[in-house]
Amino acid sequence: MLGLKSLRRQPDIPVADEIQLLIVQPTPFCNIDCDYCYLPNRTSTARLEPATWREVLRKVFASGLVGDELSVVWHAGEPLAVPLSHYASLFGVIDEFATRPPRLRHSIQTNGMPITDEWCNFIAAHDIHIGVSIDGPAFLHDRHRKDRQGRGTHDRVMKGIECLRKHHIDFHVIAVVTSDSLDHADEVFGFFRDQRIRRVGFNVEELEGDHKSCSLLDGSLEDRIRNFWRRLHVLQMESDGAVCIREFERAYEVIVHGPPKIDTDLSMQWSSQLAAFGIVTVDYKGNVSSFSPELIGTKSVRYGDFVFGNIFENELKDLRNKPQFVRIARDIREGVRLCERQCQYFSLCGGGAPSNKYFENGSFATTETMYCRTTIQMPIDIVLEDLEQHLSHSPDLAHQD
Amino acid sequence: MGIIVRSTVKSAIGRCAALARKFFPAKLFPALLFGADLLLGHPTAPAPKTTTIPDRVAAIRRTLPAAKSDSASVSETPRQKPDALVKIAQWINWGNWNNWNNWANWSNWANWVNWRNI
Repeated sequence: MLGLKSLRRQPDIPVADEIQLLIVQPTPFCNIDCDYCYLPNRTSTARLEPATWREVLRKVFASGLVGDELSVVWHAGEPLAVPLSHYASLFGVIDEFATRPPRLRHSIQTNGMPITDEWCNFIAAHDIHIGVSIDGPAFLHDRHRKDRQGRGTHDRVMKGIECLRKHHIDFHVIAVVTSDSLDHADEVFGFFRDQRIRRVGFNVEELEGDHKSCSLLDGSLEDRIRNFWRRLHVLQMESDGAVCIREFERAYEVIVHGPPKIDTDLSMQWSSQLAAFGIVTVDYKGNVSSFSPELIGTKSVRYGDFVFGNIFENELKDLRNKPQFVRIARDIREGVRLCERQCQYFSLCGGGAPSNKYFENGSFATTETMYCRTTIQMPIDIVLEDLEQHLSHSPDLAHQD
Repeated sequence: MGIIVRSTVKSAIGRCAALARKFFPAKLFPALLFGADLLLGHPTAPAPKTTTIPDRVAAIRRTLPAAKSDSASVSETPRQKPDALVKIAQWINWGNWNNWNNWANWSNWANWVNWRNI
């Protein structure tokens, strides 16, 4: 959980005590061309240079916003599209800071195709957490996750997964849910169960960044999305825990262990996306952003640029004095306030995701989005019903109506 | 566009409901609805559940301590306990009885996964 510091000059802008995630773009390049990808410049083969990375670490460590441990996520392109030798140079820079805390914990979300024995050795040596993006069985995955020649990538992803297994490297999966998936919950779940993939997060396709149309945008599909979740939930329970689904796990956790009552200030502590510097995103050129990482690279008529500065030119904390930063931070806070006033799920959600509010509603100072309905509210509804059903013997629940 | 239309309709319905509440006392409302049903020839619909999400969550949390005490032994002998409690213990990981649903491990292992777009 984040802590907050009230600033004297901008008392209404919450700033995180610590950076929760440092998102670093090793390259904008991606070796494949998924049709739902929101990232811009995916054909650029530019790379994060060691000198830029050194400056990132120097400024981040000097910011006073780092605790004993810092999660570094290599993302915003295909991280493994950068040669292994280049990563070796980048990790060599980290060793220059090795005598000082914090401990860095590295994570990579990959499409799995570049994984080789050499990569596995590097991943194991640096204890890097790995997530693989695969949408389920080939007939669903290959409809959207194609290479630049238009060929499906499923078989090559599976080779990468087999390589991870050969090296006993644990991993989770993130699967994108499109309109094509909705009638195939059994096949999707069955694929992960049969492949002995134990942890899966489902990303319902969103309207974001460069992805300006969405197969699920039609409101009439929401019943089908709900049914998809319902079926997944049944299958998960029947599987006796063979596959754990992130969205249900999160819903159970927050229903059972969430704080009894929250307000806007508390909710700003919940989500690293809401408080300034909870997440810090740095692109390969050293440009710095905060809040939702999807914002970097996006131009906005309303807010201008979501790049607040450059690591070579600015100290991290100074970015909060920039007018565009202040405006965005205030709008995000206002959006959370509106959620608190208007949304029944507020105490379980904390105020939504700023990027979805911006991309769907045009402003951070807004409330409900498709993401809220499909990824937060629906799993919560299903889990609530499940708990009520299983606890219905209790007089307290039996008489609540 | 759809979002704008939906929010406009929601807003209009909300205003109408607020006006209705202003002019008709709360106790009169069910009677009015019943009368409307009679006039329209519809059978009287069952009263809708008015329990809110926060109320439902609070009710579950009030109920859980009792279940939790049962689940302590669930962790030792899951097969002897009712399925419902075993499932809940699995989910909530009180007993971590089968170590399959270790939420804490999952979230700590990769809290970054909770920022979902990766």
